[in-house]
Amino acid sequence: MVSAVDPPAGILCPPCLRISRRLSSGDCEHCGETIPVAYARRYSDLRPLAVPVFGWSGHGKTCFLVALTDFLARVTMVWDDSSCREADAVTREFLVRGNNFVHSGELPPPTPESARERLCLLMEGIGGWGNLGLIFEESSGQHFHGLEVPADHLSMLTRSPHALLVVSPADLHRPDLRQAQRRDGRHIDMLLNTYLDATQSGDGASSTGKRSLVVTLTKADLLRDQLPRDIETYLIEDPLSTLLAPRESTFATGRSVASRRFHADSYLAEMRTISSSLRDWLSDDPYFRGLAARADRNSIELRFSITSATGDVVQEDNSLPVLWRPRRVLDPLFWVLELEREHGGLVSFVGSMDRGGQEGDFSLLVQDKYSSSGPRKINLQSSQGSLASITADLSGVNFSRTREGVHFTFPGLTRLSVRRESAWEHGTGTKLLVRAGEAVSTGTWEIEVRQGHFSRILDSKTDSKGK
Amino acid sequence: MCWIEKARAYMHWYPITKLQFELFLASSVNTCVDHDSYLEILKGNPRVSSREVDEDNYWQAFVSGVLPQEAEEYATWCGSGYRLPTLQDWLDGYYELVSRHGDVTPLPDPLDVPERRLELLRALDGISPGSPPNGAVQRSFGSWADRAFLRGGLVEWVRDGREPANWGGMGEAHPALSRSLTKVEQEDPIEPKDPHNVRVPHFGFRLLFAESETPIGGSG
Repeated sequence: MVSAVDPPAGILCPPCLRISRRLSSGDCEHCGETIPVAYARRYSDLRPLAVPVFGWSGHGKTCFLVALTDFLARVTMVWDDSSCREADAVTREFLVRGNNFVHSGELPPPTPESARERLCLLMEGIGGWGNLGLIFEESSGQHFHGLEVPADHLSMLTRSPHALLVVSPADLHRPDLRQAQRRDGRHIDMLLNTYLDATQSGDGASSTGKRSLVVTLTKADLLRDQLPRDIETYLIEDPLSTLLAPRESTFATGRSVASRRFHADSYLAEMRTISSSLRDWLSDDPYFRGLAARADRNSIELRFSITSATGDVVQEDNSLPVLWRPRRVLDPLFWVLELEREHGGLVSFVGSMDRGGQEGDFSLLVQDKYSSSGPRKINLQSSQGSLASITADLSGVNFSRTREGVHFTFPGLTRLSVRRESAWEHGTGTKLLVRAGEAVSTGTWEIEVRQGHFSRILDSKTDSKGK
Repeated sequence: MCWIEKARAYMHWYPITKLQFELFLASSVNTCVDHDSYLEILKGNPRVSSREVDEDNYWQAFVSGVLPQEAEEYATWCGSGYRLPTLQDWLDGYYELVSRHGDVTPLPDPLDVPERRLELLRALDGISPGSPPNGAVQRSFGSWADRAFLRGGLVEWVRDGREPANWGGMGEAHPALSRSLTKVEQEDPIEPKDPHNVRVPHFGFRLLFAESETPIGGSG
């Protein structure tokens, strides 16, 4: 048995979502971009989660991200032992700017056409979701105005099984608010078309896993007199809006925020109910019905959230006379986390694979994404014949062999030592396949074999497939 | 005005109206709001004639866009015992009125002038509390707190207990003025970004009067 878990040799590159070797330069071997040092250092203890954010310009993506990250920065007010920190200078700069916007009541300018906000946050102890390496990427909405989006703006969108489709219904249905959009005549389903085009071509075509979109309705303040009552009440009565309100607030209410407890289970139950309500509400829109039908045909699961980044209507001069009071801005992230949990979520990007002491042996570092949710059944297979034995460094891991492979359960980060019946054959393209849960999620490592031993991991990916 | 037992004070039944505020503007005491400032105030929430007040414009009868120091100067002009409410005063008033059953007979503010003011009050009294403001989603409109426009009127200035005071806003404004996603019961004041310098079009105020600890009449 292996006595300790070493840091994985490979690492999921936040920009391109590929497993990269750890180079001395700190850059990704695939895309050449720098992998944040803090992220790399803590990689073995966290679960990387990519959340691409796409939508048209002017629909509130940047404001939403500002409010979301500002809330996350104070998440310890909700979960006592939790923490959040930025992983790189770019994210720190975004948080600083965002903090200034929120506390000054100013609004961020639109994201420049060529720009792309990529944020990396390290979160610990967030509810039952464990430690996270959150990677958000927001592309300029200008790119989604046309039919074709530059490929370099799509790598995260195409490789991530989840994404946030951000749209402001008020800006679609109230043409008086946005003259330009009245001329454009855009419909909500056009965003899905762009997404489908992107994910079904090039890089995205290789991923056959199930995808999900969280349709994130923004600028809910503009909809207040149009929303069904249950949705309006849900928005207004956001417990996190009070718990995570800016601490720099000057008004002394005399009441302790700490005394207001957050009940995650009931929050998530309400969030699910409202997702259904939002779907029903949107169903009056023929273009939305088209979107839903097309998503269904393409095996894309849809979930719905409604948010207001500012909590109040921005005035005609693009100013906000009051401080931001965001509503339900964490919901889209919670949805992504819940979807991962629903899909069985073995993780992904397990990391390292080392040669063992004898020919044919190897060890594999695997991590259950949801270690807090209890042991999960795992099945390990090799494309090069059966595996002779498997041991792990954690006690309480049970194994059984069947014709399909080796089954085992494990409670978290585990190094597995595996013995093959014979030496590996020389070459590349050997695959190891791990299935988690009810075979709804698989992790695949493509490896290179030299002289009967592992040489290196060529690629790694996780697919979530429907039951 | 109506007596708020917990606050041990009278509270204005309605937010301060433009008619009331204009009397103050015309007085020699006013040093803070000049002609141009008042025109700016009116931009965010224009005037409406007392005779034309109805369910689609009644919020225009109230003065809004006033800075807290201007509201305080107005309170000083009203005389000894008048002041802006604290958050707790305002909530005391709200909870008392929202839960009160039976009739409430507001007392006239001794400072009120007859004729046009009474005409306006009659018009405001005539706004049906059973109907939601035009365009608003149906909610429990109909309590005495709604009749007094603690909801469905303006967001109103409240102060905290510190010196100097920090300022916030309580109340649910009519959707025509603001679609703030707030609810009074959350007891969290809306915080303006720069209360002493930036006018907020949907922020108005009402006063408390507590010169005497003894109620000067019955209400309810």
